[in-house]
Amino acid sequence: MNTRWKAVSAAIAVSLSMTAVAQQIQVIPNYQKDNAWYTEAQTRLSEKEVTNNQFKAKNVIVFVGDGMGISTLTSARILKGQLNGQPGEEEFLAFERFPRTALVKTYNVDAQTPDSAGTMTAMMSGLKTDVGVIGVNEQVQRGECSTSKGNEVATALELAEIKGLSTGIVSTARITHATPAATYAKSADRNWEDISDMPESAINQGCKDIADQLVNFETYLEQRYTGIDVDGIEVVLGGGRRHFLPKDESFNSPDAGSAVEGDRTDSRDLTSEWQERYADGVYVYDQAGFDSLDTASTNKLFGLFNESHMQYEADRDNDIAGEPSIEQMTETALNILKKNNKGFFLMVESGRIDHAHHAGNAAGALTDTLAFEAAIKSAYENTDPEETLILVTADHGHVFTIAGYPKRGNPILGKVVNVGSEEPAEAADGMPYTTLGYTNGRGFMNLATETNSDVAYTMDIDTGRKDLTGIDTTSAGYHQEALIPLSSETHSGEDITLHATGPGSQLVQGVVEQSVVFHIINQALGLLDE
Amino acid sequence: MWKILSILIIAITSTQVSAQSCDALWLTADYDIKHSTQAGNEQHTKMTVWRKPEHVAHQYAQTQITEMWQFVRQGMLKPTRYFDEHKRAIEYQPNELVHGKRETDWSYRNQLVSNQLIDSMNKVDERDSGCMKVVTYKKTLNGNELVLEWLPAYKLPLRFQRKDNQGNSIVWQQQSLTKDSDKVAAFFERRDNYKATDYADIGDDHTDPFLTNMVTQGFIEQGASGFYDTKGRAIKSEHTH
Ligand SMILES: [Zn+2]
Repeated sequence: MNTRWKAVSAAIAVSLSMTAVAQQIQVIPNYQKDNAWYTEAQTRLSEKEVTNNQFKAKNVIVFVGDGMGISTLTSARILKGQLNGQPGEEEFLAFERFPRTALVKTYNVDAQTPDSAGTMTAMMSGLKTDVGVIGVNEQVQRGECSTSKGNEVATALELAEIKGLSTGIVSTARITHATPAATYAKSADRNWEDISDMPESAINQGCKDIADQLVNFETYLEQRYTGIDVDGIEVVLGGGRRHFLPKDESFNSPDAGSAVEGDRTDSRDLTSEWQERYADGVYVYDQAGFDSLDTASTNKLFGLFNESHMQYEADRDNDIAGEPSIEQMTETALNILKKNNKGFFLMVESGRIDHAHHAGNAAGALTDTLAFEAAIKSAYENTDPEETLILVTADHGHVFTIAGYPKRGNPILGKVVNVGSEEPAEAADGMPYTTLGYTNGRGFMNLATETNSDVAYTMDIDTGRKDLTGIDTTSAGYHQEALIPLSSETHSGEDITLHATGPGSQLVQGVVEQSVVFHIINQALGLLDE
Repeated sequence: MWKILSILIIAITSTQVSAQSCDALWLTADYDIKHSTQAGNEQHTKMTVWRKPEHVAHQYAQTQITEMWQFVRQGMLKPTRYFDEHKRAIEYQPNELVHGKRETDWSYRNQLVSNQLIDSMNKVDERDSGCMKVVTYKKTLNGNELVLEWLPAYKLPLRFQRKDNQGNSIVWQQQSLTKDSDKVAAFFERRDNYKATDYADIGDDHTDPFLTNMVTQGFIEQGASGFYDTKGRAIKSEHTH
């Protein structure tokens, strides 16, 4: 008892003397105090001491990296540094410098490892729901139209519309895909992207396909709440033309990838329905149309740049008609949305990080992550930090790891070279191994310069250890080894991150349920105030 | 034996269609694929080629899998794989010109033998004429002896044989060739109505029993289609990948 008191008082004495007579005692030696890591960390901390006590924002931008788990962030940041000729580990992705971060629990009501439909519904609507359903609560039975009636939930985008803000959705996936759809649609099944994807019974019971719900968003929202008058979503940019066009060759776009591009069996051309509805709106489907946009005079924009998902960033130049980058789409969306004095709500999804991971191609996932980072950086630089809350998050992670004991600066896509060595380290089986790997999936593939991750699906599953001697694992087409053979690599169940800057970002802290994201948006925009 | 049978069938069917042209569109051709080993083991597989303009399908009745390629534009083919038993399809993106290591050669999928391979072979015989003209080509490729009996009018092999120097061989033997556009159209339409999943979306739906089943089936069995060498690589030309 006595000794403990002594120790405590001694510690107090030391700390007092540190502040009072630090110069004399020099507890921290100069080589510690002047160390770059030490001073840099002190500077970062000081920056964070400057707090913004404003909690209300005029605008909110939510960036969702589909499948962008923590290991993806770490390896993308290292790749970014290495592409700049640095060792890489010390680099930050632009949004990793945002002052506030939280860990987010991603599970769905009925699933330990979640999918995008359930997770994005949580972020957009403030409650957790089942896997595979969009904009409806857990009372729904997946695939059963009748069970969705009366269980539809309101989203941040809808509430922003009702409040009179401008709204926008940007995605590199099909715009009817789970993540973007959860901002505007209600569906008992994420796969009901157009009428041909729906069972007869669901159509008869009056359920609408997701593409129809996007184009008729204004009508359906006004029907749901009597007495409201909204003007519809201002900006919609992404892929997925096939769900908006009739199954008829004569409706093909110039860069159609199929003999018949459209999938709709109800003969409706939703792109022209949208144009009829918004006479001053602009519909674009290629890079040329996108480039010729005048955002000053355009108030409604609808862009569908691919029959299905847009190209991977690494593949973008190979598209026939050309596709804008996620950064270009974000910039254009902001230029249009910013014109509303009341403010705006924008959701931007990088949809293909997820797909490259599913295909087991780390290079593809990291390249799309860096393209996504560029979009976030540009949005941050082109909005007023005093009035715009920017949230960057993911919906879930992947079974993707950074492992072994590679030395500092070792190529992140390369083979493990131990500290103090120049040669690749050998595993117990006598063969070299990579830092990055997957627990499950299709496994090893050496597709060299192939930038389309999905080519993996035309190859045989080949899991287990391979002799990587003589194989360039840093090439775009290299697919990492995997342990468990599955038709595609899976999502993971661990937490993901939420990074935030701007008014209201102070609430982003701790470990939170994913549904908290909605409440942070709601709080910042005061969506339910009136 | 097979040869004679097949010529007979062709003779009959071409008589039936003699009023029409003997062009290479809207046709169905059945093949027997015989794998024989030096030890005397023999294995037969059946496959059927279905053609309509800018579409070709290879149907494997035994596995109930049909592979289809759409010719989108020069250098771009869009593959679709139909699982006939499940009435489901997996759609792949058309391969871009710069990538198309596997699927840029329309002639290879459409004809089973690529123009490039035919051009590299030596013509050794020619018999019959018109629709029934058969040209025989030979070549030795990486220790394999290739013999092709080619039907130029239909752009399909009548017989294609590959023998390696260990005495193993594969023989593709055409058994019938018919031209019935209604039947062909119905074949493609039935498959077009299957529920299709974009290959990029497979990973997101591990709750779908069909997609989960793909785990064991894989997406492309080695040697399922076209002419492959002993390592399962497509025989297209001397520059195989
Ligand atoms: Zn996914």
